[in-house]
Amino acid sequence: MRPCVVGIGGAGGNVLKKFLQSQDVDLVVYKFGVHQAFGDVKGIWLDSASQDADSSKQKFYGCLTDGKYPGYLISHDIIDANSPTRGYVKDLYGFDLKAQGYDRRAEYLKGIFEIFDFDTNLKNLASKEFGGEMNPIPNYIWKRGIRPFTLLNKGLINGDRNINGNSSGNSNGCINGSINETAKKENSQNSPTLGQNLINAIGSLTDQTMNNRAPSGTKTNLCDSILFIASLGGGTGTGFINPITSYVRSEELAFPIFAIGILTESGTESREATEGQRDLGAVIALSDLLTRRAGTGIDGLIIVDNQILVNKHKKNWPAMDEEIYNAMKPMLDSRDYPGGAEGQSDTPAMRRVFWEADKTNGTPGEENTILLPPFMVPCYHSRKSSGKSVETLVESALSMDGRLFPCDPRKADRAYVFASGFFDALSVDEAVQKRTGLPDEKVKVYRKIGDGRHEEVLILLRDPYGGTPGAHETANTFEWRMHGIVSEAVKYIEENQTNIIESLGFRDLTKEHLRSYFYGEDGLRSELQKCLTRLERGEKPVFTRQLKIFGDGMEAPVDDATPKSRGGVQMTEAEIREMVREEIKLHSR
Amino acid sequence: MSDEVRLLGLVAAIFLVGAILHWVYLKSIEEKLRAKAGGDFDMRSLKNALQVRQGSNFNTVMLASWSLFFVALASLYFLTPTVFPKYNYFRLAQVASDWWGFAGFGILIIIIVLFAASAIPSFSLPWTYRFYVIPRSAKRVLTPAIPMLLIISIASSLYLGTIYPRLDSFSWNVGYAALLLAQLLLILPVLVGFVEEIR
Repeated sequence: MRPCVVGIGGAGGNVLKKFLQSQDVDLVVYKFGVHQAFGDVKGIWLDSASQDADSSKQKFYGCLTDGKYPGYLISHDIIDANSPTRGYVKDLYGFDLKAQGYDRRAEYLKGIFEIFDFDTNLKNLASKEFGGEMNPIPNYIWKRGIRPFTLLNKGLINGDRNINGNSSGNSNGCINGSINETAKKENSQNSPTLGQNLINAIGSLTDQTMNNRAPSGTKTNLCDSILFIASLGGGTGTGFINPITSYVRSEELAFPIFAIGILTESGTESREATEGQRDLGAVIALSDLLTRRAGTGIDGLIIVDNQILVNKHKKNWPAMDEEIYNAMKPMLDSRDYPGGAEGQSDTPAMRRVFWEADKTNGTPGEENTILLPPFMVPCYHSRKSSGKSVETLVESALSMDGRLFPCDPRKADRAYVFASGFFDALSVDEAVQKRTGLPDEKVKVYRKIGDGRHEEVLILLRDPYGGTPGAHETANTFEWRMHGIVSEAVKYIEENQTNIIESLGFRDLTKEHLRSYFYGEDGLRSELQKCLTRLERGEKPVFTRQLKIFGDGMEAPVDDATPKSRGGVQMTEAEIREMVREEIKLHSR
Repeated sequence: MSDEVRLLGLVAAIFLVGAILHWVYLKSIEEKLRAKAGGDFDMRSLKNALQVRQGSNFNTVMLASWSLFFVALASLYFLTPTVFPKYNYFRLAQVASDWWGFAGFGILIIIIVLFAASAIPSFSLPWTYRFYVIPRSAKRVLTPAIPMLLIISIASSLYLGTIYPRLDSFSWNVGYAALLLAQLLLILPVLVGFVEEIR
């Protein structure tokens, strides 16, 4: 697995730094060739606050549109200060498409992205302004930021992207504009001299000849999947993760997309966001991410509880970020066992395995079981290579100390094991079966050779909850933690109606939709109460119904000239894209 | 046989030991994997599986270091007639005494080394690093230390070439010591990988 790791927001950016730390040596005087991260992963930091990305605040990331790598992309840079689209959204809804850092509330960004699916006038306006693109912000992030690092970019723009760390561009901020304009500017501003070309060629040649094989067996440096990282309960990450993943999925139906969601710790944090407010954000993000049917959203959410890391590392933030990165290393390790029998490098196959289901999985639907993206709880342990049995390694990973989110491993319905070191697959399998109670066919083992110095194991427990009524009252169970978050969110909704609805600047239309979304008969409050009941009864899944602030039967504001909907099914842009694809397929047969 | 020739034998012996350790390392991993993963792979797929990218900066410096190593070795033994009176650069007196004479000698050696390394990548030492996980801390030490030691060795040889026919055993010893140390550092990743593997 070689993902393009996308860190969203401040926390996502900090964790991403660990993933992208260079494995190469820094020569100070010159950098040859490409930036080398563990497992050959690539990455990008998405943020909405350009002041956070400023070089006076951080030195790790450079502006991606200046050709720097590792790079950041400011999501709303595509929107001009005097953009008609921005003006329309501001006037009609009271949202600002260029607000620095947007807002600490998840519903703010959720609302912003939903209006682009919902409002026909806005779509037309955006389409006119952004060359046919009706949802410019996620489009910009996807096409300018993420896609160039993935296999999907082959043959689209210029093939593999130049991520030479030495490229010198305009360092005074990002260059705004369309993809092609930016690419042109990049080419003209960063044209290397003949000498630089020669030195880069030496670096690339040395790199290619001394490593004549890409780890996945392909001759490419591009990524075969996407891994989003965001805090759940922060600002940008919480608000962005669902719209971005949904947009990407609408463009690429079968590309593996995973996410790491880091639930914020309890208590009021540094930016004075209360626990209730953050838990509400987390619950909105979780609900939106996990209620998208198979093939319309992410393929799995790896969930981490920051409270566990806070307890362990006493709020040493870099150490906490490092632990998340270390836990994921066995999954990213490019040194697979030879032979490829376990399909370690076949990420699409891994994606299919993550979706494997039987009668006990999914949500009962009209005809068939509806599969929703699963929670994956990471359990990790590392030790120096010792020749000790794999049983003790697995036991340590599944112990309370090894779990990165509270859960009971015996409740998991599947286990995906990434073991790094010399292990017998059967021994790993049996050790996991013994401690989870899972049958052989529900434990999948991927082995990596590792670095020879350490033995590591990462066990992703799929949906480790349910089946026991009242489990939410038992400390350190998944139900207990999730029940706590949802309860806090409900409490916040009930006690903060004014703060939620009557926000400065929101227009009446927005307020009306927010009121309905939060407090309506089938609104979020009511849905979350049902979630609590399900958790109390030990039912799966936690989140079953997707709620929208704008849409779901509501009528968009339309001009008189625009023909009104005749009561047909309202479709999102993603659904329209999918329908068109199906039609094309049908006609091409 | 002179001491210098014996010491050249030591350099060759270290190469040989490095090559043997590398072979044992691969065999040891192969055995472990066959025991754990079954026999459904060959050496080629094992080598593919083991490869890890070290980074362009490290690779470039190490390739340059290996080239410099052979320049240093050739300069110490084959620049002046001190060790091998029949086989040395000074037999081409006109070329050697030109203003670009020493530089030409170095460039010639580099071209030969790069050609040999590219022609037989499976057997050439610069390429073996890809089979080892070298920590960044080790890379930070190796990349400046090896070229510096080799430059000291080459400078000593050039000094000896400049003062010839006068001799200076101290400069020769310094050149050799720096060369030997650089060689040990060059094969250090192989040594460390081997030790970790058999531990």
